[in-house]
Amino acid sequence: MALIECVDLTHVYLRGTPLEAVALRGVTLSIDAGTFVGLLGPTGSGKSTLIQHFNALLRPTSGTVHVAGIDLSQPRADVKTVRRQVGLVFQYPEHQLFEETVFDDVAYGPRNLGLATEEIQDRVQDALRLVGVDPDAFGRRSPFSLSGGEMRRVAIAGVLAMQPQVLVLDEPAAGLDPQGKQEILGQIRTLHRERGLTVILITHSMDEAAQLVDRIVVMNRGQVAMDGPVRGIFRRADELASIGLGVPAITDLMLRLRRRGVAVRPDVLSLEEARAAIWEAVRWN
Amino acid sequence: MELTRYVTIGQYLPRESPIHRLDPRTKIAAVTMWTVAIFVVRDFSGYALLALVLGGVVVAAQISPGYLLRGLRPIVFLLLFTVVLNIFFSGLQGGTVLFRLGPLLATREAVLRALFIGCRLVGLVVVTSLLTFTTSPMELTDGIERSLRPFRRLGVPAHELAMMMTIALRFIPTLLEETEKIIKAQMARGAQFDQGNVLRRARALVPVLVPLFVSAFRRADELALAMLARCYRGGEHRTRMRELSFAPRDGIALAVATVASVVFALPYEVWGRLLH
Amino acid sequence: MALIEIQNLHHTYHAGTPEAVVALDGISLTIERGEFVAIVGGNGSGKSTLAKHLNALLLPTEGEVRVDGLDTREPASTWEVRQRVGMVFQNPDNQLVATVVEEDVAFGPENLGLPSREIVERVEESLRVVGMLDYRRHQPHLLSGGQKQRVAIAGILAMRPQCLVLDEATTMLDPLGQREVMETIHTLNREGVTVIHITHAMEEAAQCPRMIVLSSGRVAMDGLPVDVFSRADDLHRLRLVLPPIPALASQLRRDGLPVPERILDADDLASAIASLATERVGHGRVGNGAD
Repeated sequence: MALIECVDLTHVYLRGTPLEAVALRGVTLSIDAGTFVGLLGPTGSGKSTLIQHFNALLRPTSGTVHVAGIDLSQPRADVKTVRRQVGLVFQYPEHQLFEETVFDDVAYGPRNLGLATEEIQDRVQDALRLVGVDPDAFGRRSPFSLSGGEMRRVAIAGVLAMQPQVLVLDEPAAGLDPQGKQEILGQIRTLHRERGLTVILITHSMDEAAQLVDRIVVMNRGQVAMDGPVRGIFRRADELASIGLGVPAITDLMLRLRRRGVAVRPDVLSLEEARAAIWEAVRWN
Repeated sequence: MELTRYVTIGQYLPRESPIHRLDPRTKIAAVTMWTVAIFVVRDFSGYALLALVLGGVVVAAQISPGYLLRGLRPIVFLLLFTVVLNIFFSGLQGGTVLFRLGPLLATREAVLRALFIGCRLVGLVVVTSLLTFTTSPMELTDGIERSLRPFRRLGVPAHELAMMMTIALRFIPTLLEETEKIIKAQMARGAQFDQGNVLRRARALVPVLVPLFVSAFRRADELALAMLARCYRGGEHRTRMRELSFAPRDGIALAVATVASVVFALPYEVWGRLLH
Repeated sequence: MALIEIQNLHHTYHAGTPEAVVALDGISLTIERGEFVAIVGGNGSGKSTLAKHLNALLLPTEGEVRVDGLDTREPASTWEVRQRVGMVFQNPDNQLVATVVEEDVAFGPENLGLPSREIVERVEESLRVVGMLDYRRHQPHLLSGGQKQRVAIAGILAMRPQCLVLDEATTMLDPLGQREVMETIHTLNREGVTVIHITHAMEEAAQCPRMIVLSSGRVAMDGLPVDVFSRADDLHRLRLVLPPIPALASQLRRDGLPVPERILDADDLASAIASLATERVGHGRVGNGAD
């Protein structure tokens, strides 16, 4: 069985009231261990509701969700284990910082797990290093004295210190300056490659998705509208446009070239690939 | 998201109804009178009349009764608690015993009185909800500001109080949303809010309250800046898009409200005597 | 006389204390009426501090800022300055005061002490300009981010300002919201409003005729976006990243493909490459790739 498996998952807020709202309708989706999945879709398409099912913050109205073999549609499911395995980083996670020092804030999760002091120490230091924050220089500082980008990274470390197998991030780069964005995204890529974490990334940026993920799931109106390898999804530019989404700037350029009769590959993802494709198309012979 | 959906108290429901169009001062006066009347009512017939009148207002204001009743949800516990407490610990001596629960005794009189108190609570919530449902917070605060104006000479900061209220009402949904988000984020880090003794539970709230306060202060700062940027400098010089004006319909509404409150405040016996 | 004249502007937070931080370090700028200027810069470059000087929310520690000839340090002109230069902030939730859209838009004109009939007219007109008239009786907290920012813009327009400053007003929005706001401010600029758009998004800055790059409280670059983007290395040093299209164009040029300089958008680059490819028809695989 896949690491995360949703079958016919439906979630209705406030069922049976005048304010009833269907957020997910019949979502079937499975995510294998070790993959990097991009979750895209317009605002209100159900992305946030979906990821909250992955660590039992929400329970299905109908259908099932299995995480690491645990059936979360059962009321008595082992939620604690699931929360330990699936780390959830919400939008603007720095807004959840509360402790007096960076160290204590990152240690909050491990302490909730009831770990030994030394283990907590190790995990906090490890987590801070993973996000590029020096534990010795920053550990004793107040999280509220940091810059926006540093606060963001400390908050992400707070989730990493739980040592989850799956990391779910809701727009981790939102609101940062261009280099702050690159840094965070680079660290997430490293976590995936070097630690083998399964990563689910919600993003509005097609360029981010193109850079990072293997597979894209597009949500629309509470349903899975598209699901497949990243190159395949970006070939379907018209379908994406009909949902109000675009393609990465580079892919868009390739499509424009093809419309002008230049035979380039349409499914390039990076600047490097575009460069090669263009050279191939204009080269003599 | 869910929190905001569950809490309907204090929300405003924009509609183009005759009740919405009334001057806020008329509505404030009516609600004040009815609140007093609710406390004065001596028997169920008064509540029956009140229910009838309120029903009429609800229809006229184009509010779905379901939405109105949902506003009672947060106080259901309080309501049950009050009713149960009043049934068993009424302090009433004697009376007809209805049933027994161990050492606890429920008499007919106590049950009636408990239900009566329950009606009173529901009446109060419904009346105040009707005011906030039909009056935008801006109008409401305008109304309060105008009503307090005569007391300004006594040092009552009418405008400031009114502005504080507007902002509080504006930010209730925003802060509820934020609270929910923080609770979930801390739960994702293994927080448990429903375990241990009272002290432990209270301590478990620190990771929620600290970020909430930090965020409330940040919002306050930014809002203050945005208000300054829009030339806000207190109540002086300020005009209003809708100057309050007491129209003939307000006179009629006020008269009806006054009569209604007198009618349901008078005990049944008085009506009996008056009619014979 | 220019609309905004900034001379040797310095600003130090907590001046005279051990925590003193220099945010602006000698800025001189002139912004003419009707201009559309993007101000970009990494975190901590002083963008927001500069913005707050434009309507007297902050006052210079040294140097001066003049708006329509008015010195912002002059207490008597504070309110006139704020009426002339309106400001939209980053977080759409923290700048709407009222619980009904039209009442929020009325807030500014009410503070100006206008008669109610005029307020009603201005509110209606401003909401129409930003395309939110149908939402006049809605509650702001139920709108999307882009809609909230458009209401905030309407609230400023109702004060009839000469200049609109957007302080990272698109940063927290989704792509649709960003597009809504960008379209709105382009329309306003065409109608004569001076727009100063502070942003991280280089793609947005590329749409503005003039681009100012701030770094450590100073003006690092000031010119046409094409000129700014031609200095990729400098941009990188300033914590900024070239948008993908100009980046690819300059890479291809470095590779020796004769792509013209000063390319900003995908369409221009595509036609340049297409014409290079057609010159070589018969030699390459060109001409048969249309789908």
